[in-house]
Amino acid sequence: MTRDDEQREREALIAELGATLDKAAAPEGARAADRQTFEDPESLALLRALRADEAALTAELDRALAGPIPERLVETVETGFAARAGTRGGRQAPWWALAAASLAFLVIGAGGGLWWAESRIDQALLRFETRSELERSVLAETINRALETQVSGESLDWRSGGSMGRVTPLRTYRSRSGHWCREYSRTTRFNGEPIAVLALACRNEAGQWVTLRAEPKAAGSEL
Amino acid sequence: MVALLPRLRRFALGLTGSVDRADDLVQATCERAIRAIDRFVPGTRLDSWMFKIMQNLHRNAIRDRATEGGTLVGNAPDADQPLDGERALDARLALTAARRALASIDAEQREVLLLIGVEGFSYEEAATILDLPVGTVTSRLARGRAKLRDALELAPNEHLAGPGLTGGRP
Repeated sequence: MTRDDEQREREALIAELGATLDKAAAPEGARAADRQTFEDPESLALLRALRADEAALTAELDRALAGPIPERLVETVETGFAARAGTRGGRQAPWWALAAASLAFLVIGAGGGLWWAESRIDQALLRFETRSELERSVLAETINRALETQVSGESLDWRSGGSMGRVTPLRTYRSRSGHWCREYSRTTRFNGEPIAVLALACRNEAGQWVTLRAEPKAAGSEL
Repeated sequence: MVALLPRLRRFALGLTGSVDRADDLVQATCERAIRAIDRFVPGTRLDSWMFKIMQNLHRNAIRDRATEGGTLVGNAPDADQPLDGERALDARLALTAARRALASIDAEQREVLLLIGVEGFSYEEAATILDLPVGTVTSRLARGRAKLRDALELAPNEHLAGPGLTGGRP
């Protein structure tokens, strides 16, 4: 047997042993070889050696990185997200201050009562768009997810029971109070005609998108 | 994302071989991930996604260094790899046996070994992270493990009970 052959045979054995080494991580078919391996003392020794190698490697990498994580890395993540969300420095503020800050922008040129009315309109529309508490929560979750993850123009669909709908962020901008706000459309269809709503939501410090304005629009264009 | 930093650093250290370069890679990875967070699909694994970003950045960095060109594509299992900057750096620093052994493994086998052997990803997850078929992942893993074994077997401070345990060696 040439050295190459030997090398190849050894790699084949190691690949087989890998199925045992990696347990559930290995693909289904690979696990069939298990039993045979354990009857061969040489294979068993190799298996132990491979396991020890990886444990040693992991331990050495961890040891090299012992101690606190460099400040710059934590900072990169935290300031990066803060800059995106426009919430830098707002984290310690009490909830009512945040609410007030949101409202300050949200009702440009109008009183707080208007926002209250708007949110009631949104609630009423949501009830009209959905037929159950479950559907309402699926829709609410989809709205939040769409606004959090989709670029403008790309929609997320939802389906619950016999209803289905689509949420599409349309435009993104930053409020005067530093909050991110997005206009979006949501269209729901069950059995009959689709219902379409145009809405505006802003992101609070907890990462929740609060819908502040919602109005029905001409149906039929979205789904 | 902050919670992932320890694992990202470990993977980066395995890839680059030095703590400083690992932290640079982690920083670049986080910056890119934050910029691209819109493209992260909620409900999927954030760690896989970030490892993938890191992996791509690292590959690009190697490509940019332009010294390795050909070694990234295709398999040359038994060819001796040229000594690159990473390895020269490793040689200067007194590395422990396993890390030195790791540095002697081809980059493409090393990344698979790190993802599965150290980070505990499944073969399928590793295949997704690396954009490779599972079969390729499996064979690279075996090849990488064989090389790690060889290198550690020859290392002076043997961490195993003793030599002669492994089969199939000349």
